[in-house]
Amino acid sequence: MASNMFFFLSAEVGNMKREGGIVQNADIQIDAQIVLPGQLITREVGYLRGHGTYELDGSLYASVSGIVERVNKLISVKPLKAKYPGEVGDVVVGRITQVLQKTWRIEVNGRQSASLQLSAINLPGGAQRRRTTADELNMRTIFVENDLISCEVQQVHSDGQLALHTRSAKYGKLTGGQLITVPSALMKRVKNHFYSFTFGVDVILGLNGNIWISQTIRDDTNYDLKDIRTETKAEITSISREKISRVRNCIQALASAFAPISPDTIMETYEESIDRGLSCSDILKPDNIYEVTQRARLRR
Amino acid sequence: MFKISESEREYLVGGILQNVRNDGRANLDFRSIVVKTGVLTQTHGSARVQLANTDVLVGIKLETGEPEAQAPHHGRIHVSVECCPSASPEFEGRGGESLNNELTLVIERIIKDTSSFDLSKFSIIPGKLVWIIYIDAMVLDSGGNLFDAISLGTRAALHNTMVPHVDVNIEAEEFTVSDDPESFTRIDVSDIPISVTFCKIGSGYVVDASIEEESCMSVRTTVGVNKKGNICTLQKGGHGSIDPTTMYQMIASAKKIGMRLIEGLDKTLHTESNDLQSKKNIGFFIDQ
Repeated sequence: MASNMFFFLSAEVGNMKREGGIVQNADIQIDAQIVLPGQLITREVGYLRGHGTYELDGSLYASVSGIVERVNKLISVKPLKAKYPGEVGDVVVGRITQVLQKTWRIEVNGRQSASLQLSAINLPGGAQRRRTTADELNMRTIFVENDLISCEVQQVHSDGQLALHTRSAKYGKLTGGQLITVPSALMKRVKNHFYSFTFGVDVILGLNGNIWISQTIRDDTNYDLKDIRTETKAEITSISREKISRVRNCIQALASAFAPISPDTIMETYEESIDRGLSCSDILKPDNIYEVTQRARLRR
Repeated sequence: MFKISESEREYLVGGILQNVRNDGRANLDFRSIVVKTGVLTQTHGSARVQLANTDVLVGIKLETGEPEAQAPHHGRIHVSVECCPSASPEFEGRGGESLNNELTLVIERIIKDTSSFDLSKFSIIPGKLVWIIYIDAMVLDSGGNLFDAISLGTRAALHNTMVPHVDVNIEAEEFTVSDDPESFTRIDVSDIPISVTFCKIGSGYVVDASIEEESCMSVRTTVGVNKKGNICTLQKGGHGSIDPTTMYQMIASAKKIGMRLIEGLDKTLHTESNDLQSKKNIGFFIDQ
């Protein structure tokens, strides 16, 4: 068994980062101002203090690291890494942490856990009916602790807590694949967050930074309790596993290069990695990350 | 505790059976390792090792002190490993204690092995005064395989260690430690072993497990290997069992992998110590 081991000096990695970094790259013209916490944004008076900024002696400073945004007189800093705030209609991938009365608690990389009401899911059989106490007692037959689910944000409560729902055939428990977590700020809003790549890999791009990757076998039967329990376990060949892993590593590479993540950038990175003849695990070597994500990073 | 769902576990175990792991590695592949030495100016030697998310910082501090009664002509070694509470919520409070102890024990066994370290070189006034080598490792972030990361870090940090020159007046039993940063000796690290950790998951086993894989493992075997490919220590962790054939396979793989790891590490450290550029680093988190 050949095992590849590769050591890198931190200084070398640093050099690569600098050459290919977002800030100092000759190819990319960045007009945005990137600030660190405590950095002066403006000394001029008359500006309004927005999110991510604070005022000191009449000057405006950044309180988070991110990109300065100006809307007329209002200055705010959009953080590069932040907890997922959530917006109605967002597709998210979350993990069940608790089964409570009539509710599941779900971890979605937010400030607080999201909740999924028993009334916000499609019951087995798909029939619209009142939720009985029997349903309440059987909640663990639907989702148990640690399960991963895809769902949609139904409502953002006044305290910022998210209420989720899975009232569509496409949402529900995730099986037969793997999860990768990236900073949610990198997730790009696209038309379809359920994307099927032509090479036989499906992704669910949760806007909270959780991405589910699985192989393409999607039967269009409604999400059904019976289907979950007696689910036919599709055999996953090593070839499709390699493809799934390649997509995973491409997403990881994009995340380490701090490039936006969307079906397009994933596809570009995937193709680039194949064109360069990189093996699946070679994508994540520090010098290759810069190379494979080049096209995705230049995209604006 | 990092937890994954039943279906994720099934996928992960299935992948190991097919020799394709979640991140595309084969079962016996390591992740890329990033090493940097001389990261802490307050220490005599230091190193930082990154294995994907795993981030380990090792500092070596030397102090003069009395030798142990049973070894009056040998220096002393003191190992301590601490998991930073910011690495994982499970390390908060007393949560990380058992892991700290386990990590400390394994590293201590590897380092204190008599074949790895000639401790008689650390005696200053025989029977009276010796160097005490404090090896402190800090786990800054945990992405799996802490054992190997710390052992690599320890070897790198010892390689980086500068032992100050000591002027000794044997008759008067007086000594002065040199302040001159130019007058020091290096430690010979060539015989210091590193560890290779295997995790048994399902019926297969993997090397350099990620945190997801560690959450599925039944047994962990840490094998200490030196440059010549000799086995120095063996430590089992976890609740499961291993059959003897697998054990032999693990040891054979450990030998191969360990030798390659040491070769790679030595080459990297050699390049780094010859590279003037890397000496200009101004800080720990900032690359120039």
